[in-house]
Amino acid sequence: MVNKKKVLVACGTGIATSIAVARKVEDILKQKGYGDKVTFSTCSVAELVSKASSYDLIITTAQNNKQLPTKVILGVVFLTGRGMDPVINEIVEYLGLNK
Amino acid sequence: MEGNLLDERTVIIDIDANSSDEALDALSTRLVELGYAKESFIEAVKARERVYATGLPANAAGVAIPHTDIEHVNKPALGIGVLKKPVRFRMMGSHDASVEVEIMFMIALNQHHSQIDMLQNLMALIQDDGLLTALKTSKTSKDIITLLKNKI
Repeated sequence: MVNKKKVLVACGTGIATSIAVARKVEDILKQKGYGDKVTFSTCSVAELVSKASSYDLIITTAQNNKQLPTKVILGVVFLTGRGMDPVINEIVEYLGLNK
Repeated sequence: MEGNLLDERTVIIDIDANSSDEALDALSTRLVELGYAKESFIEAVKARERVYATGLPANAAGVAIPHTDIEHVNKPALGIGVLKKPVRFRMMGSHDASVEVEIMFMIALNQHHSQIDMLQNLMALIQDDGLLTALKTSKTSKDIITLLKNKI
């Protein structure tokens, strides 16, 4: 697959929920057959400003007040498991994985 | 190192707290007393919770997963605190929503990208209605450890 989409997952510390969310979203996308189209990285919210522009999409579990050049999606649903489908669909649509 | 983080001593049931700060103090102090975390962990967890809230509205119970930067931790631990009555935490990712929290899972990590299995298992646990309900109605720390054996 050429040009994999790059997703950056951020949380307050960059050590806990970002990693759990990245794994969860990666698993779901793999199940849907998009596993080879996306790569995931994690970081803390503080690092977003410097990193955002190198990614296609940002998923975060913390509120973010800064203006970023990349689309941000809130990923708390992947921790509770409640209401994941619409968010997954948004991710798939936005990254064009179904194209 | 990935290893089993279950320690009966880091489980506290019947925490009688009137605020999220009091609830956090009870559990973080225990982790410090047991040597898992440094003294600075206690304030750092509360400060982090104020900036990046960790309340999660799981199906079976309000849950919080407080944690803070790795520099405050000596060795990895998972503190589990069951509250006598629900305490209000702010909801993760939200400016104004809150969650009435009944169970806290305090994550103490001393390395980046460590304990990934535990984090995933913890998220599965939060989504397991039966297990979460059993945890919050447990009568002893030992019961909780038994429930979580091979699950964390």
